[in-house]
Amino acid sequence: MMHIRNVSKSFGRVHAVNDVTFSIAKGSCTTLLGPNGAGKTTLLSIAAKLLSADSGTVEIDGAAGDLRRHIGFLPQFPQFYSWMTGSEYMIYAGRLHGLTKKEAALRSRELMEQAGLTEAEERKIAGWSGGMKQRLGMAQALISRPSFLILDEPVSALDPKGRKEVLTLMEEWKAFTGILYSTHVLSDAAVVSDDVVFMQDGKIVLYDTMEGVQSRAGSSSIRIAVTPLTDHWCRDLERAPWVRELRQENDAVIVQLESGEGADRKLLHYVTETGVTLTHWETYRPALEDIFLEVMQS
Amino acid sequence: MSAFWLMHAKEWKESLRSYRLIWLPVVFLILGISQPLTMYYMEDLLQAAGGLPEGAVFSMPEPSAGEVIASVQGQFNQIGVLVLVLAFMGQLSGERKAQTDTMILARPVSWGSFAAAKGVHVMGMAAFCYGLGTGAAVYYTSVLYGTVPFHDAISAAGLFLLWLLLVSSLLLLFQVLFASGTAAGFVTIASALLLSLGSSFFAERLPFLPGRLSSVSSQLWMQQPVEGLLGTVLSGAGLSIGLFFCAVYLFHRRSPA
Amino acid sequence: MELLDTFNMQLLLPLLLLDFVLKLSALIACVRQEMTKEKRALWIIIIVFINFLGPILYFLIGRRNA
Repeated sequence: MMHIRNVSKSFGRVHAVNDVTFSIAKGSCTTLLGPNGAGKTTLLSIAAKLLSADSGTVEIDGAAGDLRRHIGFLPQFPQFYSWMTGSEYMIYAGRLHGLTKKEAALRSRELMEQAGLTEAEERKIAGWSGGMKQRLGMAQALISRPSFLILDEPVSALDPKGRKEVLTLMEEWKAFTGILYSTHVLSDAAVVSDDVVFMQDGKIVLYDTMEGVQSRAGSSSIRIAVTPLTDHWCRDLERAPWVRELRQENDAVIVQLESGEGADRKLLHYVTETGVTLTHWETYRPALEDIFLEVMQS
Repeated sequence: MSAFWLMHAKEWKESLRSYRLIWLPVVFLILGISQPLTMYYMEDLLQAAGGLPEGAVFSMPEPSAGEVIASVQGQFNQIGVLVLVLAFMGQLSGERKAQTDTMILARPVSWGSFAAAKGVHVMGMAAFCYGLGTGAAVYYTSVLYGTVPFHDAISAAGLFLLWLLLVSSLLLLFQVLFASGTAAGFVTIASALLLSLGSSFFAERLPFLPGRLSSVSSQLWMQQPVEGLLGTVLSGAGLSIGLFFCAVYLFHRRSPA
Repeated sequence: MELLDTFNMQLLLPLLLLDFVLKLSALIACVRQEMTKEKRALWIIIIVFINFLGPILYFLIGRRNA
């Protein structure tokens, strides 16, 4: 476990990080969400031992102090020695962690393959694209098989394709390392993360599991289409106690259910009971954007 | 291999890839060769350039071998030092600015060795360039003028090398202190000048100031008697080592780990 | 030509060779560096036509963003 305990950091009179406490388990992924200037980068730099905290501690498995050997870090804007080739950089990084030349080369080849960089690995980094550099950034963070990965905005600068690639890599790597990463792109958080930490003005405003966060927003919506679709059928449905709102849309109906277990089952029961034919059923989970706005406003 | 040596090796590799390892020694070699040659052929050159005015007599006394090498060293002290400082003034501050240091310092390496590796590389380059340049100058001088006793040559070269190490330490320190490499380079050159001027100003009363290193070295080349040699060596070495470790310590202290 | 004869070619040759190495390495570096056509042309002129100082200027200033 990685514990971040009561960490605070001020720059002059600005409280960049204000008494932040949470933990990350190995094999799980925690997303740090928040608008720009919320203190995400500051917090991650403190966790990666690139910045000292004014107060508070960062511990891994009960040990504090210099934890850099247990951590792989990707900064928001990774800058490489562009005169090196990809594999040269990886081997240099690995050897700084105490790997032998052979071990580092082997590990580099393995990670380059996972990151889809094998073809480029002997070329100078100067000529690489932004997406390739971002993936190299992910790979270099993993060279030492760290127990925890700290990634600062790993997908924000990427196009949708690159974003998907990196998120897939994170999903794979989650199996053997704990991941703490920041983003302001909300939809990315939903893909890989187990826990969510919402930050604003240096403080945690919400810390919960992904499911918890989603259920917090209350109800889910279901889009159904039935034949025949009559006004009478709709009116009866709207009167049911587990329906919060009903909206007709072309030949379908969007039913917003009251929160609580089993509302969707009741809806299905209603459909079969009334003897209509179900032609479409689609569940909408609440958008993270909505939860985000709700949390940030309250 | 320890992190220090890995990072030190990286500096050499970077110098090679950026062509510094080729052009810096070549510059010192050219300076070391061209100065004895131009001095030797000065008369011919002047004549080829249109000759001396009617009645003028070319009466430059034949310099001694030591004087020739001392004048080569004068070139090293001006052009050589300037080029060396300009070539390396972005070494540490450039990395800070470009943030290439972030992913290195996030690994289990000491911030002190990160800075030290850079300083030691500049010292190595300075020694390499100066060694080659002086070697070439000594050879050309021996062919055209004559030789300097081996013993004097070694101590003179050693003294000037110490001066170069002192300048390298200054450069590292100012790179730690200033965010801008240009500022660090400028202040390094300025303080080296001040050290030299100051020591010649106080030459009578304080004949052991480290700023004398280069002038004392020239005196040794020319086989002139030198006072306070030991004091100069000790103060020079002391200041070099002191500045170097001061730079390393100050950088290391910034480490949050 | 008379001047050249008075020079000892054996002593001069290394100097010419070093100057060539300096120019050549600067040219190679310049050609390999990413920059605009106009800039490259300018640097090549500086390297070739300004002896000694040209290549040094290129290495010190021309490679800032390399």
